[in-house]
Amino acid sequence: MDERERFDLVYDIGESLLKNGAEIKRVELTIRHVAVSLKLKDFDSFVLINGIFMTAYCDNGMVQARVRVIPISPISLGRIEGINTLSRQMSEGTVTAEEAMARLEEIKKQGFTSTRLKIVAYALGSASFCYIFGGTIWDSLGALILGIILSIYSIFILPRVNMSKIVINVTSSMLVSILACIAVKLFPVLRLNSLIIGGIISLVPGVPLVNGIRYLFNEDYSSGWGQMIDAVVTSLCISVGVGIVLQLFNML
Amino acid sequence: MFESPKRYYLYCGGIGAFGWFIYLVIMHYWTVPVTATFVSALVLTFLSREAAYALRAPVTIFLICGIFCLVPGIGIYNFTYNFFIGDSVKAAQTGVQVLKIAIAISLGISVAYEFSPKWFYAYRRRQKLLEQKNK
Repeated sequence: MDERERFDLVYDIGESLLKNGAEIKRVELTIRHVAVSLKLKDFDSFVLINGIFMTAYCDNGMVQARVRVIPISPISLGRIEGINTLSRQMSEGTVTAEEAMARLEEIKKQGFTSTRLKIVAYALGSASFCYIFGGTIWDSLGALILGIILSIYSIFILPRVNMSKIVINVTSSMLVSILACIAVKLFPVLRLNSLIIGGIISLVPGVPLVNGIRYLFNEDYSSGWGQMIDAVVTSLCISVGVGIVLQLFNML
Repeated sequence: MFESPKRYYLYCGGIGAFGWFIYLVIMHYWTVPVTATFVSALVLTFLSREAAYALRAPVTIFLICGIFCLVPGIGIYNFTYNFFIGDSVKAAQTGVQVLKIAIAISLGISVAYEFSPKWFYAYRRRQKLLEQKNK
């Protein structure tokens, strides 16, 4: 394998880690380890929340460099774990560069959770959070159904229509609140507030907000602000969706 | 939802439940949300690192799943919702509260990350095994 290919492999590993929501520190550490194991000289990297910059020296005196923007995207812990194991094996020297490349492609394609399990996760998450935030058993039951519908919407419909993140969040939260309003009209036992909170819990960005503040504490100011603003904008979109529907509902 | 591998489900669930239990216990006796969040984030991160050493998996897996109960997801939603419907006073209140809790969690995590690896049972055991092998 020549230098260029090895450099691309390191880049690929970094990119897939970042794409699947690994922490900045972890991405930096991992690609440094991998670069050492692949014997790249004077390897330097700079990782942001939405981009990677990498340089390395070649044998013929040229400098290799690559930059790419990577959008902030949902977390996939399975892939992070897979790539982590791979990079550790590379550092230990048990996996060659060619094998690593093949393994990486495999990890990229692999799905870790079946669709059915994901729907169950959405539904149970909605129901239990509805209960924690003061809903009754009946509210939780309603939230369970809302969770199922939301998961079907986000797993089956959203990948087919090419929409921006903002529109996705607004439409998902609007869907949840419209359904919640209908449910409250049909069954007056239910409480609108608990239903909506249970329904949107899988959309709200709690973890990104905390991660953003952690980056700030790690003196990584650009990524920290990026992550936090992303969380606030996502949450604002959700609120806009819910707000519009509730205002219309109150007018009726 | 975070596509974690199946073999870690039980550990993630256990760690998350334990963190939430600590939070509830502290809240029951003292009603101090920020301190309670800080302590449970600390314990959660400690447990996650223990699990990570024991199972040779990244800490992030256990941490993200465990911390999901604590993060102020609904808080940030309430903040932006109040902001959107024009209730600025309430928005400011919830916003500051969310910020406090989020800072408490991240402080808890950062502090627990600074712990020496020697404090972790699984790490010590592995070091011992390594030493025996080297002998």
